[in-house]
Amino acid sequence: MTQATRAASRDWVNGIVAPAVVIMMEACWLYAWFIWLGRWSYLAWQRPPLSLATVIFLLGASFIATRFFLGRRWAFGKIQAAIIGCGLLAVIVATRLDYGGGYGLLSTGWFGYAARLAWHFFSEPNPLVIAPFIGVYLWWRGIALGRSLLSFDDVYRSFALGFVALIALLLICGSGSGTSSFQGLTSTIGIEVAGFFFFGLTALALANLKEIRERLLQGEGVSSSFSRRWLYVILLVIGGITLVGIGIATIFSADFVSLITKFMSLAYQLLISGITYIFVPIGFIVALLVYIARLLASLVTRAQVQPFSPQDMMDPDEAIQYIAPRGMPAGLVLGIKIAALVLIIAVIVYFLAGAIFRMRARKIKSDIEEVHESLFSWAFFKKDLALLFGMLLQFFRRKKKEAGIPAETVPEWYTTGTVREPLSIREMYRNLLWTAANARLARRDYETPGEYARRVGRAVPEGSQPLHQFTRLYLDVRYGEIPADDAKVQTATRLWRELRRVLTGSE
Amino acid sequence: MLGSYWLFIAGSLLLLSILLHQIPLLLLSLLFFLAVGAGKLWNRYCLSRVEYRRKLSADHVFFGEEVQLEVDIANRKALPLPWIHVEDEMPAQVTFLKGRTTESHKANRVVLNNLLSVSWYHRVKRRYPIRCEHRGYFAFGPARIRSGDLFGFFNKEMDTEPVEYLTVYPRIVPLEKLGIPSRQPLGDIRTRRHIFQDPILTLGIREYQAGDSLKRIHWKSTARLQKLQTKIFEPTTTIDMGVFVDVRTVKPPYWGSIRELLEMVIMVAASVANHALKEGYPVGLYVNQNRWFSSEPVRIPPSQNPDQLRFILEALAKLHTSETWPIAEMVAREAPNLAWGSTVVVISAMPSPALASTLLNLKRAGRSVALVRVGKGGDLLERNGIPVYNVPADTAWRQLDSVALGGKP
Repeated sequence: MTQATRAASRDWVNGIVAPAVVIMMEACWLYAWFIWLGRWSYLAWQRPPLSLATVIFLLGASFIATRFFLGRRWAFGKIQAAIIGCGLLAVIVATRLDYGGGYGLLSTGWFGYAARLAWHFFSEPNPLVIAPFIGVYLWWRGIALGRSLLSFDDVYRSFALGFVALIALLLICGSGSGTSSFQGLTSTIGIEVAGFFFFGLTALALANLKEIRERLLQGEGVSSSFSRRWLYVILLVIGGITLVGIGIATIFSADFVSLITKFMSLAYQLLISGITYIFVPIGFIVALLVYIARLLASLVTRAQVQPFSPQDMMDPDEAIQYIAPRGMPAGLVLGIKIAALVLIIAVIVYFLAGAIFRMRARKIKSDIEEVHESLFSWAFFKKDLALLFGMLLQFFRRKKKEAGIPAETVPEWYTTGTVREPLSIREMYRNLLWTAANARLARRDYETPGEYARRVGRAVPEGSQPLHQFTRLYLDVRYGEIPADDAKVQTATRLWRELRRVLTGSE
Repeated sequence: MLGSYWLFIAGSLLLLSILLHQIPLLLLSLLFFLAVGAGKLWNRYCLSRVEYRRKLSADHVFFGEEVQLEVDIANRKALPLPWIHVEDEMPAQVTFLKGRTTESHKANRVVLNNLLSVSWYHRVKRRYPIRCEHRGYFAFGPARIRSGDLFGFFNKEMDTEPVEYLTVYPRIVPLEKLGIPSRQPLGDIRTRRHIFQDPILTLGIREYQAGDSLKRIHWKSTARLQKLQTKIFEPTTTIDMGVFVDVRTVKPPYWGSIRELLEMVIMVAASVANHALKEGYPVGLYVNQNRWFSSEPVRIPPSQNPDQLRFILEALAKLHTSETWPIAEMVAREAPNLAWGSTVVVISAMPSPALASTLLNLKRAGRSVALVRVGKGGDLLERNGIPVYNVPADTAWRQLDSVALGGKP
């Protein structure tokens, strides 16, 4: 492993946050499709084939497994077998967790239940039968992500794919929105759209960061505060964009409140699912440990030990209750709880200490003196704000002014040769160009007014001086946007008349 | 990456969302528009009011000394820069003690990369210690600054022209042994034969003697004493020394250069000039190559100016490998301009018969000449009666503590 690879593996932004947001981006657009699939009237499922948490779990687990096994120096066949084996196990576990069916966690009866549902699938379609196949697809997507370097191009491709997939889904939903099964679907998908953009843009930004960093000297020359500052800015800006987008979109929607409520409930659901995924295995392990302890104790006391039968822990409340099985001595439960707490704290401290040591080591190694200094002052900030508003005001004024000007028509002198005075300086210049063109001195496309004036000046020496003066006045008005006062307009008119006389040869 | 199609895509999606009454599609188009629009705006203003400066702690240093390079990036606006990448061109001859540089497509140049995140109204300074292990005149800069939007859709760059220069003087070592004729510089400067007199420094007056120039008559004293009085001037004791440096290091007619040999020649020239100036001689420098960006040769007339050593060292620092004229031609052209009694010291790694002939002519004309031969190249000139001092070049010049001018005068 090179120094750069080691440094990259230590970088938590690229090592943890970037893959996590890519997985979330994928999960958002895939889940939107699953929601649509769940609403299909033919299937009458009334639920997506897999929950959002399961989608995230499968993508994440697949990604981690792929990265882990590819990092081993194993034979390729062995790696393949390990990833596929883990995939099958994860798909079964995920399906089992998503579709409890009232069976205990380790109850073998669940398989019979699943087999029955599969047998009757064509007469009574059940999402449980489809879920493993979708799980396998998700595992495959996770493998693809795990194998890629998550470079900017990879993430951009994934983002573009998800973007197109979401547009296609929304168009399909839009075309079938009249059917009752899709009622309210569009507002449901809104959250996934917002989530996709939030995570997608974050993933793009982080991939961009990674690419820029890697282009440099393997981390050398990169400011120590680079990743941290970048991440804050990314979250702030993308969060702002997403909120503004949601805000504007919901103004046009009657489902404003439901959308917000849906978002909140989704967040709650995710939290609960997360707790479930974390606490159920922990509860199971604790129950197993307790069982082993009681079994060992029974060897001494010769007491009867009940067989190990974990209950269904899909309901978090039940699961948490199950962690403290009934009939256990209170002291033992307390001891186990304290031990678990100490273990968790020790793990956290271990990881934190490791991170701090690594950070210190990196700091000592790079050790380029860096000084940060704030230039902020309220006076500057107020000046900048005033400048910004001034620019905006000028922009809108100009727009308004331009809007007030009627569409340019062919000037009268162009067709009739009659010039109705007074003319503005720009009109006079336009007329002069027309007059010069008639005298075979047309301005060429590539010529600037100055260059044109010099060329005409050489061709018609007596007009050189007034033409240069007139061009200067025109440039001020046209490009300098300096308003011409009456004196300047009068001077320009005098010069224009003189030039017309020279060019047409009239007295 | 998105080109100018993004507005079209966002507009089309917006239109579709209105036609289909699709709020999520509206949200999608809005988010797309906002994201790309924010990127576009960011890209437009990212390099406005961004200042980049570099500063060296010293612009003249001696060989082997350390200087500090400070790069200063300031963002004087409310828009934070999530990333800003500065590629600053640096001379390859200096050694960065901290930080790392990458190769440049230009010869003898490297690129110092700085990737930073600069928040609003913020300044970041980074300091790099540099060791100067090569003589020369080095340019730091120009720099290319690149920044862009958050998402990598767009990026923008600008070049900053200002360049800082660093002069690294050649190495100076003490001369271990000197054996050049005593009447001439590098030896005893006291002379009994006061051939030249300085008309500015009046020593006193005496009675007029037949043959005295009328220019020397002191009219005020003559009027006071009613006798013609002649001014006596102080004899001048300053004997100039012209150090001629030959940058050729390969035998003619071949072209090219042996870098180490040239560095040795320059080091010997700097050491000789330093020694002579310390001893009180007016020393000048002549090199058979043109100054930078000039058609004039390197020519510093002898002087006792306190800054003369600096002038000489600066000129030596800027020497490169190309020879403009043969050294013999240079000596023949410049030596007559030196004051009578001056010593011509030629330092060459590749003395030629033409040089020997020129030096011999000067010697016959009453000049004192000496040749310092660096290395074993060129032709031996002792048989012509020209004093030759040999400086061996078989050791690395960086490791030398002193220069021994061996050989017989």
